[in-house]
Amino acid sequence: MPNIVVFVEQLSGKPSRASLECIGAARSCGGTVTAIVAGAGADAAAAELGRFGAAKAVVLTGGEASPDALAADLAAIAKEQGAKAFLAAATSAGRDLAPRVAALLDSTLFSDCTALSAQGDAFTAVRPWLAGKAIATLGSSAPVFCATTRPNVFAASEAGGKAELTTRAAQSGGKAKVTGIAAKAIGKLDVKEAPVVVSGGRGMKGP
Amino acid sequence: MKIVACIKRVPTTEAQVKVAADQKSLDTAGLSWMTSFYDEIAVEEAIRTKEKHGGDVTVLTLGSAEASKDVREFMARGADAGVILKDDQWHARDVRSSARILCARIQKSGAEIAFFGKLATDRDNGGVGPMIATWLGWACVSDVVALEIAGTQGTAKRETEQGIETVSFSLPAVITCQKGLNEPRRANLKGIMAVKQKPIPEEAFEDVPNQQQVQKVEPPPARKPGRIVGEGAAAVPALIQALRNEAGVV
Repeated sequence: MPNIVVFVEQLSGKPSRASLECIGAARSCGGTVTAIVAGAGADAAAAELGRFGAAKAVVLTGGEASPDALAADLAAIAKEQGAKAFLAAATSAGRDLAPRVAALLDSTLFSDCTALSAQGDAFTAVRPWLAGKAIATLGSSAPVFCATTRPNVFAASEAGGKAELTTRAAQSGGKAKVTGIAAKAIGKLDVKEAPVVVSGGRGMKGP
Repeated sequence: MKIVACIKRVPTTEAQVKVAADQKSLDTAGLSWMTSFYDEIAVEEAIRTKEKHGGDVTVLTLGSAEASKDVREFMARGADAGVILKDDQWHARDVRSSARILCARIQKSGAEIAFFGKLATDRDNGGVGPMIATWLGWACVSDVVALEIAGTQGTAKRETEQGIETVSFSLPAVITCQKGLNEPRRANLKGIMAVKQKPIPEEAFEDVPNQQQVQKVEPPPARKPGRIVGEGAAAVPALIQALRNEAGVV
């Protein structure tokens, strides 16, 4: 079974749904999943990941909020694990990190995939072209298959297992650093995480 | 400051694309082309950066000779030079291949800042900018909606699901541009006349093979037609039934 490294996003110790779906996508390829979690609350989030099918969970401790330093950590772990694939959810963080990790692994990138499959170590991705006007099925000869998965497409299923937890000191010395975030109103659900989206028309006469 | 802005020619947003007979590519016959929407924002930001801090802007593209139309348009708007890395396969390259070729040319140009669209609206990968920054060892901020540069330091705001992130970085840097960063200008007559005769060099490059193999391209599955379940208040029970039993959302 191929080793697949999955970057898991978390907020206040809770793994994001899009990342749990990404673990589901990795498992659907028959992979053994190593999940990587970073930031404050990462250990609490990592403890939940075994339940969703991760065999290992690596908690990155310390470090700074720098996407390039984080990408260097993710690529280093993927190399150490001998990973055949690296996956992240196609969220703003995932879309920002995945090409950096792919570059460090000298591999191309398959963004916003809607289906993934693997026969042994040979991965196949299905993804939209031209905003969905065509659907492409793509094979990969990259040393490591790097992809982002579209939220709300893959199933995040509970497997009931327990992940082997390890911690690792995050790298510092990133070239770009996140110095602040103007958070959206707490409790407001992001549309990408919404299970159901209802669109209203003019007939509703107002919000 | 030496500034590079990268652009890609893509089918127009309204284009009706057809799958080619080989079922592995798109039929490009009769398609009209444009600069990718976000790349226009990238060029505009490059020109504004030059206007504030001095320097020169080079518009760089990997594409066919027809890309000279797009490059010349941006020179009329204020870019100083254009370079076409001549390639008839530009639309069939994977992210790494395009990025490796552009990376080598950006390195050669001695640029301190390179602007890209957040993604090209044909393959929608959004990987070229961050990949190039990684190989060059430059800072990179993606999906940027506001940018300030002072000396060799920069601050950018980027849109995320959690809110607007503020990122600080040092030059050299790659910036990928999101809608809202600026409103691209139009070229005026003076600008158009000034660049009419300017040469746009076409350059060769060392090829980088794809790691992505297209196995199949197909049109998207047909959407099911909508259904009117009734009108007014009398239709509510039928609508609830349909939402509960067919859509499974309530």
